[in-house]
Amino acid sequence: MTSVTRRSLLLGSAGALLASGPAAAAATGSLAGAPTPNPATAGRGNRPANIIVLTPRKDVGDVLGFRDLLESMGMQAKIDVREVQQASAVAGMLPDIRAARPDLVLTVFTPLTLATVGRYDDPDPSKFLTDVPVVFTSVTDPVASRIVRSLEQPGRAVTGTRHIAPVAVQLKTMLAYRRWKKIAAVYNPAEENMVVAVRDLKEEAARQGVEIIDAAVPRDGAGKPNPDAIPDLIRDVARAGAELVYIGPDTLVASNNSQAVADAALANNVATFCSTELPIRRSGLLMGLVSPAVNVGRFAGLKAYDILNGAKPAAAIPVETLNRFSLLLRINTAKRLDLYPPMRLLNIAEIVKDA
Amino acid sequence: MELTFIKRLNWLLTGLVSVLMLISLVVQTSHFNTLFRPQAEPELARKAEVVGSYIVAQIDRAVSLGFEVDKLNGVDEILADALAVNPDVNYIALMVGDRIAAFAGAPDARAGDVLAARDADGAVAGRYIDAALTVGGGVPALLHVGVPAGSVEAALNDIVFDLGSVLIVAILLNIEILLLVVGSSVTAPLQRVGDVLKEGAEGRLTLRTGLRGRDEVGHLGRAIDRALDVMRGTGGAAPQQQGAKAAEAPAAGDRIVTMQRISELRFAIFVFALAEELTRTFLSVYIKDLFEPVPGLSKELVIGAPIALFMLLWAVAQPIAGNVSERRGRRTVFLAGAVFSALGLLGSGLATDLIQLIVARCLTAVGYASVFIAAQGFVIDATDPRRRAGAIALYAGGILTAGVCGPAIGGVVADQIGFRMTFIVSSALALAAALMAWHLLPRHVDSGKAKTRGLRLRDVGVCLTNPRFVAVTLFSAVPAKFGLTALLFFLLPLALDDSGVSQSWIGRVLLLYWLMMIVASPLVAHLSDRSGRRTPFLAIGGVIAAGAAYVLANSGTLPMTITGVALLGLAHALVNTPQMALLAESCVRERSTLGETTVIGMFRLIERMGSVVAPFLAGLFLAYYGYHGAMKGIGIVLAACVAAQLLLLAATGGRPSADLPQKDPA
Repeated sequence: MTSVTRRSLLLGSAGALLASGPAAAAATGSLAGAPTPNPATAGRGNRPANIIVLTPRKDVGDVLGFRDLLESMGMQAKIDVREVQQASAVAGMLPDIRAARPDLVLTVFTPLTLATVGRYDDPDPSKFLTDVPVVFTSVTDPVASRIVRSLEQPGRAVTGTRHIAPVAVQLKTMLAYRRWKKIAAVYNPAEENMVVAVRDLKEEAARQGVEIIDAAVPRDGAGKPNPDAIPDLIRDVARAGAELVYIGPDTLVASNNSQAVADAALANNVATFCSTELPIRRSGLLMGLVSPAVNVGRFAGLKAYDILNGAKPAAAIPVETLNRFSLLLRINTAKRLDLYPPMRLLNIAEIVKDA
Repeated sequence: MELTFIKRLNWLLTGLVSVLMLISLVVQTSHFNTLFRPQAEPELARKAEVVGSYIVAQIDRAVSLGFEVDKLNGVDEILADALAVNPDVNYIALMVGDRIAAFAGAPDARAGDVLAARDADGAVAGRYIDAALTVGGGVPALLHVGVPAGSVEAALNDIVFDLGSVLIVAILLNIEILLLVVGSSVTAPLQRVGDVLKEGAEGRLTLRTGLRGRDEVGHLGRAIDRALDVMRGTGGAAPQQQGAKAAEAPAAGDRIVTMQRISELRFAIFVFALAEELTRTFLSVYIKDLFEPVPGLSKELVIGAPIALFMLLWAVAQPIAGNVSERRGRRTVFLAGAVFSALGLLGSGLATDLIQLIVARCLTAVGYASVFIAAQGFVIDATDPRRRAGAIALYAGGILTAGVCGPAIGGVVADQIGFRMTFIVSSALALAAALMAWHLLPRHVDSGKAKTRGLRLRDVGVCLTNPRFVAVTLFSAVPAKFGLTALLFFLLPLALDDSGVSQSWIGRVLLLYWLMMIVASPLVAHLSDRSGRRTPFLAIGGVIAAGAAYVLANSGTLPMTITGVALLGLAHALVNTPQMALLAESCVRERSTLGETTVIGMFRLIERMGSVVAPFLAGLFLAYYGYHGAMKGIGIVLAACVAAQLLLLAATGGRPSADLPQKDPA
């Protein structure tokens, strides 16, 4: 493992430090030129800023981090958190949102963000919110999803944060655990960002001399990917020689069926790696390199702060990812697989224990 | 000159110096044990514990997470990480039960699956202070951290070696100074007094000691002369006999003056040779530092050039300077040569690029050739053939002693004041030698003596048709010079410097070669003369030289290198005197037609070609095969030469009878 990676991983272990507030966030450079926290700072005309949050669940870490950061910066804000279970419901909520005259809207995850702002090359003011600055958080690939034209210059009043470590760093982390020869990527072929993510992983793996087994979830008779096939899929890739199962920021596989993945992998004595936080914390996956959601939310809060303060227009604020990641390691899974982590990784890992 | 008196005095002084040094060594060692060690060791052990506790914390965390300590993965890596940031820790080992589970650091601290044995002081492998820390978990586990017990011991060792080198150098310097002082002011006059008294005892009272010094010896001489005068007076001395006495006395005095001068010249030559030898350990490294790429030539070849040119110019200049010194006088050539060398050494020290250095080195080479040939000429002029060999041996001894003292002193000096300043010191030494020569060499008087005829190309042809001459010269003498220059003057200093060996140590290593020469040469000469055999010495010496190259090529450690250098010294001691003897025996006809001096001069000239070729060939080998390959290549060349020499000698049959006087050790 190169020292650069070690360093980034070491820093990753200190990722929790980011939670200590704006001073740490300032290290990303986003705060450059921003005024010092001022309790009197508020939205336009000294009234509290009016913020609407659209999220699948109220308790996601992103929202907690977002709220926490604005508070710690002394921003006076009225934060209206609305739970939206289905992305398709957003369209119907738009008139109500417009009527509330928010100063800023925060959207959580790719589907809600896309439903709120639409594609940059298809801006329809009647279907999407176009006259209010929107900050998104934990969006996997906003360019591939056509939310922004480029990460550096969003081009419209939409910006935000990503939560996935670069694929090269993810692969290096996997290989730091063991020098795997075959890795199976289990993913939902209907999710466009996952197709892109798996393609990137294959390219990187080829450079590292690692074989990637393409394990797309098979579709059922109606052409819909069938999550019930996941256990059989994992048994098959294990037989094909896969030593590790990789799952990405995949709604079907990671968010909704991580337990099935973890169980099947354990049953077939295969290790597991996930690039998002919650599946590792909730199910028996072995490890992952993640941006803790609270930190990603904080970072989004910082961008919102800049916009509300008038420091920068949203269109000029780049979309960024945290450059520090946490290595999560589930000890019991390691023990059950009899795959002891290398001491170097163990030293920097955040240990996840079975409840 | 009889040296019994000097020898006794030297042994006395040497013994005294050795005893004093041993006492100081013992005091230092006990000082170290009683004062330094009790303070240094707990400090080191504490450091080991700090480093260890940091790792134990990591292992304990893993154990507390439920991992079993003997199944932990990648402990080697974190041990290596800890070593990398703590360079003064030598090894870290995790012992589970009585087996090493993970290890990083000095390989000699472990013996297979367990730590190496501890010595009486409890140090692992006699070298490391070991701190053991308990690791948590169900199985008994210990983390061992080793810090060098040696960091203090190594310093002590260095002192011992330094004292050893100083001891050798001191003994040799003792001899030099004693030869100078006692030789010129005591031994030679005493011999003279003995001669005069012996004559007197046989009834010839005309001889006088002619000693006029103001010291006790002069007093003795005057008293004896007066006594002889009185004795002659009572015997009815005639005025004309007084006149005869007056004419004889100065002539007798001359011989004393001559022997005094040779002792003094030996010292001057010693100082002069020391000037060059001081730079021996670092010359090739210095050249490398000044290196600039030359298009079309490899770096190693370019580095070899100054040394090769030096040797070439030396070889070419020597006969020319010899001729000049016969016409213009030894003194002039000696002085000019010494000044040339001083300028050359000064220029070498100030050189800013390779070209300047090469020019300076060429100047030095011409100076060296001039000084040595002029000094030898003076010795030959001033002695009758009966005493010549001894006189030349006396003067040549100074060069050899400088070879031992020079690198040892030079290495220490270079470590202290740097390469450039050492050159300047050398330059001053050369000037000092010139000053001495100014005082002691007589101004040129045309003695009207028959000139030695110069070397002619035809003579070379005559000699080269004698296969035995070819065998001795081309395949024994040339490879000897070749091996010396290629290995000792060129490759070894570069290789040792590259592997981080200090200049002082390189000096000590090179010293060994000359020491072997000094110790073994007389023994070999004695053995060879007694047995009357020459070829076996040349063959064995040649094989050992090739073996030495092979040992040096495979030496990863300093002791191996030292062995190689000692072997090379032994090899050259084996061939040195038998070579001259065999030359004399093989070239009976040539010596009678061309003259002994010409044959030996030719032998010396051809021999030097080995030194000229050496840096180029060594540089070429180095460029293609690296240090080890180059040394091995030199070894192969040396071995091939032995084979060729043996074949030639065997083909030309038995040893021809030799009854002409032999041996001219110049």
